Amino acid sequence: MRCTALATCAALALGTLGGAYAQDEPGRHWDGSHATPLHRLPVMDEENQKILPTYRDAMPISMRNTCGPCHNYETVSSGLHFNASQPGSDPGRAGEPWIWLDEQLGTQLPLSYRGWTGTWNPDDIGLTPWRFTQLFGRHLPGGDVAEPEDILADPNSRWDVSGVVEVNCMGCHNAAPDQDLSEWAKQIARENFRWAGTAASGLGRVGGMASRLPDFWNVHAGPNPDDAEYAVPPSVNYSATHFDDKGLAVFDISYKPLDKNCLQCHSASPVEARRWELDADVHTAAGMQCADCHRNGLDHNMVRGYETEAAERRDPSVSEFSCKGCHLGFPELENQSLMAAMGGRLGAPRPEHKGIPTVHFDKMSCTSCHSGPWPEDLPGLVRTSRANRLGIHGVAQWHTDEPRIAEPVFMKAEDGLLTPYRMMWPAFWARVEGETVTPVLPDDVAAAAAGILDAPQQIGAVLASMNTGLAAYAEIYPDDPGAEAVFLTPGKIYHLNIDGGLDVAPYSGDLPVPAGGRWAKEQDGQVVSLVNDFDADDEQLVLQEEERIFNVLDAIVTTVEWLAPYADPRGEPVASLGNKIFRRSADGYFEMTERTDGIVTDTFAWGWFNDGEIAPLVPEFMVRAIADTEGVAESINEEQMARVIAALSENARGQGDTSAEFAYLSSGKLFRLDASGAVIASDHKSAEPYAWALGHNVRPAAQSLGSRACTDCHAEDAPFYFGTIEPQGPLKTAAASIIPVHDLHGGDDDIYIQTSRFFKWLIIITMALLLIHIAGDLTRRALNKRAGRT
Amino acid sequence: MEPPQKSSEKKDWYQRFSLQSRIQHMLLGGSVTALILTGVPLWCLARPEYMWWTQNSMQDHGFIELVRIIHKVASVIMIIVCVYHLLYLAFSREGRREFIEFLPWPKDFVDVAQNCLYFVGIRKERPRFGRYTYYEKFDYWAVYWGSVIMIGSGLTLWYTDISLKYLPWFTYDLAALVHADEAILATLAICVWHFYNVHYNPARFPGTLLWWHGKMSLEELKEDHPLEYEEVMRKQQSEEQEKKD
Repeated sequence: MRCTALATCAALALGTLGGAYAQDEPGRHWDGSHATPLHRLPVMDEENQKILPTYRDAMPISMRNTCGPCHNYETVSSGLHFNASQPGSDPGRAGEPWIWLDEQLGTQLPLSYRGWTGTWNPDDIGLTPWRFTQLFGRHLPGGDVAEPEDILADPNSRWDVSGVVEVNCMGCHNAAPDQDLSEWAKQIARENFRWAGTAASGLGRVGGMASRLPDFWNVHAGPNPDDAEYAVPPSVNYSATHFDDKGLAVFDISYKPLDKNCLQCHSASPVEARRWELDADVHTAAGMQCADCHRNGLDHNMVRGYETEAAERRDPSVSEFSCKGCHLGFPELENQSLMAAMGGRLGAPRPEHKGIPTVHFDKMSCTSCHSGPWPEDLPGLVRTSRANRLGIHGVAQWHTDEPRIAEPVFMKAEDGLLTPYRMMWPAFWARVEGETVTPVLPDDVAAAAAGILDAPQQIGAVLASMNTGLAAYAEIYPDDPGAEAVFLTPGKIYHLNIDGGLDVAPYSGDLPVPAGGRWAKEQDGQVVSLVNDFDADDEQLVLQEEERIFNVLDAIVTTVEWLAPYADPRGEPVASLGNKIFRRSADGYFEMTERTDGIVTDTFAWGWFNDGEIAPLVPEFMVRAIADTEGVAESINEEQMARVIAALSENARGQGDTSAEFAYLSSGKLFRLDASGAVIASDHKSAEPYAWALGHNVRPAAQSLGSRACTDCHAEDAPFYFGTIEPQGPLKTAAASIIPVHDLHGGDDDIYIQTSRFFKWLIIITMALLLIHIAGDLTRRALNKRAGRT
Repeated sequence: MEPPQKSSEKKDWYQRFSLQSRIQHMLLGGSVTALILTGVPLWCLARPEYMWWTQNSMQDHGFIELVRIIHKVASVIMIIVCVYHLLYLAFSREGRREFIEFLPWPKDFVDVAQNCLYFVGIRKERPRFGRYTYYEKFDYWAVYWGSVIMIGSGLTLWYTDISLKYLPWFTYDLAALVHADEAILATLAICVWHFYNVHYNPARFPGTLLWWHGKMSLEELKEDHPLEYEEVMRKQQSEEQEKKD
């Protein structure tokens, strides 16, 4: 591999072109045919044994041993998609990171092994290759960290059970319609790493889950004779239709990866966009494929296509596949390649840019005017395959709204050109030491955040219990129409949704709702009290209400274990009204006792009874939290954040670390607690947004910036200069500062604002003074005339 | 308004401005008028919310290029006049004399205060002005300020590729902003302030031909520029005395 690289460099030093596209394995030169040869091959497993489709519980296909004999596996696996963690690999221009997302814990951490500024190296924050593969394997092409050389290096990993994820050649080159990213993601989620390629390619169906197998299981152990339902080892049933009579598989291989395969991992769509409204990139609309520009040789060192790539790779041939390379050419390369000098590759039209001052081409990238969505006052939000888990389909939706990524954001790139970017704001819990922040591992955050960040789940759990109680009651009184428990806060109503969370809607009904919220039921479209009105002083309750209260309490008691992970029961569930407490006795009967704390209430309430006191079913801060965050993009309020920071500190102190300070970073700010426990927000390098240049979708010239008039950009209300960017993050906070777009252009654009202000006031003040002078002169003349004076 | 032709009445008129000054003023006035008339539609071209007709009427008929050409020709004339005026100030005796007359002196600030007091009735008489009143000096120096800004920003916009080769990228938008805002200020100042002083003013309405023949009646000179009138009279008397002698 190293020899290949050296040879490539030497060839480039001699000024040869096309080196990147002629690096076939020695002895296997391309014969010149443009046809893709039929791939009728023996399917080999990881032990390099031939697989026959008739085998029961057969091993999965090994790409290394099936494709490798003709296409050197080591060479391929040094390519762009497989070399992120390899020492000495070219990081290239900062690209889209892997974003470690935990919605409940409010974590959105940009990760990359390439060392791009603003990303975190997974190794540095304790994220092992095993965990990384579990998290991101759904969109990984295999190889690299997913295929470690030493599978025993990490004692907490289960590579021995799951197998490694080899480079998934079929993921890109399979032209058959049954290549399935969803199946791939499902197998990765089941820790069926070595089986994922087989299942995703449609070559066979994979059953079983490695994730349910004990650590000591390995692929040679075979089926589990003791468990045919749960801990079933993965196995493959090959599809006989893919094999011929000699047991050779016929692969439908495309030399150039088809767009449908690229887009599995490289899609991006505006949030809320309707599919039929969207245009493709103008190049693909014209019939081009991704691989027409994003080319590579056997080394899979794919052309990314940005303008400085050729210089970075010291490979002038790469320049032909940038915007300028194709559309304008590089006359300065005439001595090396006439074609490169001329441009116009694949019929690329030569733009006239009539009437546009040429300074634009010195100061701006092509993509500024031609790529991404048209700029709006506020950049739009976009979802991408890898960040938001797009393209994985099934009964359950896999995609996420988080992280929220803004585009287009115009910033000055490293090459000094104004360039459109996508931008996301890191959000994570961190240990603070001086100016250094280090992300806290999710397990530690989860331990500290238990009972704090799970407000929707806690309230959802109580609603589920109440629904169980109401259902039990309905079995006794079938004439009483069924009802659904709901929770109310001032102006809002919350229903339990199918995921155990809450759906929020506006509420403007007549039922009084205290600030601390109220449990109620929805019946026939009406929101009414969970229990009908009755007089607490009555010695005997109406039997129906007694049954209703009893069944709800009974349901809460019987589901208390299920509630436990979400809510600290803090005693015995009771209801109360006036000075009465209604409870379910230990032997399962309804009991009514008098309160001993002297409190008399005039509204019916539910709570936990402990030591003679009644506490609400869910803490009041959780009620405030859902009122703040349900139905909006943010998921954490500042009160929750302060509690988690305090809990992290408390846990650290419990482990003897008394000096540890913790913070939360979100929406471009670092939040910490002062000595009094108040939240203070400040700027911090690690809270700054991470941005990566966007290349697609390319718009046609008629829809590019400046096509209407200069004022597309050069106007006082043009979003290109005077739009704003609203930091996005899980935290609901007023501390996040709106960023004026011109602040990111790299110049001191405040001078524009100040100058504009100066001239506006100059006009107003000057004209006001002149008009006053005129008015004074006219008045005096009129008075003089009336007085008969000149 | 016309200067009298009879020789017996010639003494009632005073030749206040030379042909040099009048030609400069006419060229400046004409070019600025053309710049305003062509500048407004250019400014409105992409602002249909201000003037909806500018979009279609100018673009559909290919008129926009003609407007741009007129704007540029007028700007060249204005630049030439400005440069010529500087040479006129530097290299002609009349120019140097006029320049000194236009310089703001402490008396001008006193005149401002006294005139304001006169407006509000505290002072019974207007201040006694010399050859140029403070508001005429304001007009004159405002042209300097405006010309520097308009010519500088205009050339930046005209020769974008050259200017932005040496200036920061943002200069273009700054120049466009400054050009438009200063044009608004200049247009308002001319149409409101300058025209009031020479046209709308009840004592002058609807205006004089001073800009054409450069002559002002002695009566008007005595009223508006008493110190200059006295100077003129003193000079006339000394000349007559010399003739007698």
